[in-house]
Amino acid sequence: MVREAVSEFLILFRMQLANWRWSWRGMLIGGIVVPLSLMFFARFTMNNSDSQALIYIITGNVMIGLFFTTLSRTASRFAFLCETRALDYYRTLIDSVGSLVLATMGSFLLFALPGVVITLYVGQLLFRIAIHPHPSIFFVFLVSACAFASTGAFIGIHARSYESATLMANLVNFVLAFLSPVMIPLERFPYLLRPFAWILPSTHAALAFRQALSGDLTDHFGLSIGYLLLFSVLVLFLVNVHLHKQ
Amino acid sequence: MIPIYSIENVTKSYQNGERVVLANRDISLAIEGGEFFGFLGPNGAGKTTLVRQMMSLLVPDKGRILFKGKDLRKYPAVVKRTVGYLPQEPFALQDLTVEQAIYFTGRLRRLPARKARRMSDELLAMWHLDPVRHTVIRYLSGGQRRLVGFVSALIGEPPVLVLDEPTNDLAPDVRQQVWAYLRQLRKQKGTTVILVTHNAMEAERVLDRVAIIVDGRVVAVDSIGMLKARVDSRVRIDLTFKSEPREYENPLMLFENTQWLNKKRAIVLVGRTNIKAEIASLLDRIGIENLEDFRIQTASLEDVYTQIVSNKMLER
Repeated sequence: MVREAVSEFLILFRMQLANWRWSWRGMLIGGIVVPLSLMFFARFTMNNSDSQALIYIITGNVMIGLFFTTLSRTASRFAFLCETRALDYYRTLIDSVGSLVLATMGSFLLFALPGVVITLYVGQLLFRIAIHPHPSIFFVFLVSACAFASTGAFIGIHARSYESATLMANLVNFVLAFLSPVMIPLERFPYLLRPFAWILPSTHAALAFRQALSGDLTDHFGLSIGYLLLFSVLVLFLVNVHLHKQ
Repeated sequence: MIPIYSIENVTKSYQNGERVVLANRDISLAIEGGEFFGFLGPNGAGKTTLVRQMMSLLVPDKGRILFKGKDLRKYPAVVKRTVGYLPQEPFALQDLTVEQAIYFTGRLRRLPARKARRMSDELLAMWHLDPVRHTVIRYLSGGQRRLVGFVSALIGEPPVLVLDEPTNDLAPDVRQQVWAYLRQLRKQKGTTVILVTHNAMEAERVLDRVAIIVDGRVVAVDSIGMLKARVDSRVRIDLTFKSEPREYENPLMLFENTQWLNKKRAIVLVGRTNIKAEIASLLDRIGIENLEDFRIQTASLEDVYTQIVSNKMLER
C-alpha cells in the first residue's frame, strides 16, 4: 500500500517536472528575485541594530517566497486542471488527489529551493548576522510547503476559473503574510488579531522556521510542526471530499 | 452474469449560473461484458455527464451506478485503472512528449517500468507515432493529439474502454484503423467498449447496441437491427437509370411507394415480407440492362436517430 503510494507519487512528480520544460527558468528566477528584492528593500529602510527584526526580515522573505511558489502556483495549476478537465485524466488513474497535490508541490518546491538558500546566504551577508540552521530546517520547509500547497489546491478546485483562482490565491497570500507573524512579531499585533493569527498555518510555519534557523528549538517547534501536518491532512481530505461529491 | 455496468434510475443536475440544468433524468440501462455499446445523442444531450458518472468523476444526485455489481458511490476506486478512458476534451498531458504521455499513463495504470516501456514502444509503432515520439503533444495536429489520447487509453490493455468521441479530428484511414483495432480487441480479449458519439453512420458499423439520449433521457436502447425495424421495416431500393424513362413507359408507376430524387434516380420502398419476389418483379419490369446502378438498403441508424431525435424535440 505504502509502496504503491510512493511509486504513484514518484511517477506524478516526474510528470509534473516534465510539465515545466519551458517555464523552469522563469520559475527559478522568480523564486530568487522576489524574496531577494524585498530583502534589499528592507536593508535600505531599516537600521541593523535589532537582530530579532533582522531574523524576521530574512525568514519573512523566505516565507513570502514560499507562499508564491507553493500556494499561488498550486492554486493556478489546479484551477487550470479543473477548467480544462485535465484533472479527470489523473482522477481516473490515481488513488488520491493528495498525491497529485504533493507531486505538484514537490516540483514547485524544487525550483523554490535555490531561492531559499540564496535568500538565507545573501541575508547573512547583507545584515551581517550569523545563521546556524538546525538540520530540521528542511523538514520545516517541506511541512510548511505541504500546508500552503494543499491550501492552493483547495482554492484551485473551488475557483470558477483560472483568473478567479489567481485572485483568490493573492488575497490568501496577503492574509497569510500580513495577519500572521511572518514579518513582525506577534506581540506587535493588535490584541484582537492575535487569536486569529494562531489559526493560520503561516504563523506556525514562520515560528518553526525561525527556531530551526536559529538552531534553538523549543516545545513550540513540535506543536507547530504537528499543527502544519494536521492542517495539510485536513485540507487534502477536504479537497478529496469536494471532488468525490461533485 | 453480472453486467459490467448497471445504471439504475440515475438523475444528475448541475448549476449553470442561476439555472439548474438536469443533465440526466432517471436513466436506467445495463451494459454486458464484451459488448460494443454506444451512447448516441445530439450535443448537450447528457451523454458525457453520464459517462463521467460511470468513471466516478461525478456522483449521481439520485439513483446509482454499479460496476461489476459494486456501487460506485461506495467504491469509486473500482473503475480506476480497470477502465481505459478517453475524455471528450483535448488530451490532458499537453506538455509531455508523446512517448512520455503513453509511458507514464502505463505506469499510473500500475504497469512495471519495463512492461510500460515495451507496451508504449509497441503502441507507438502500431499507430505510426514513432516519428513524433519525442514531440511535445501541444505541437501535434489536432488529429495526432486525439490519437495519442486514444493510445494512452489502450496502454495496459484495460478490460473496459470508455471512449468519448474517439474519432473526432482523425483522418479517415486512421478512423478505419481505430474501428478495426477495437473490433479485434473485443474478439481476441473480450474487451467491453463503450462509445459516446453523435456520428450515427460510424456507430452503425461498429456497435452491437445503442442508447439514444435526448434531453437527458434515454429514449431508446436496443440493438441496431431492432432500432431500425422500429422506425421503418421496409427495404429501400435505390435505382439509377441509364437514361431518363419516358412518361408512358415509366415502369415504376405501378409501385405505390416510389420517390423520384431526380429525372434518372428513384427510391422504391418495398415490404420485408415476400421481399425476394418483390425485388425480382421490380427488376423484371425495369429491365436490369436499363439500370446504371442499384442498391438495396434497410433504414440506416442515421435515419433512425434523426427520426427519434426530431420526434422527441417536437414533443418538447
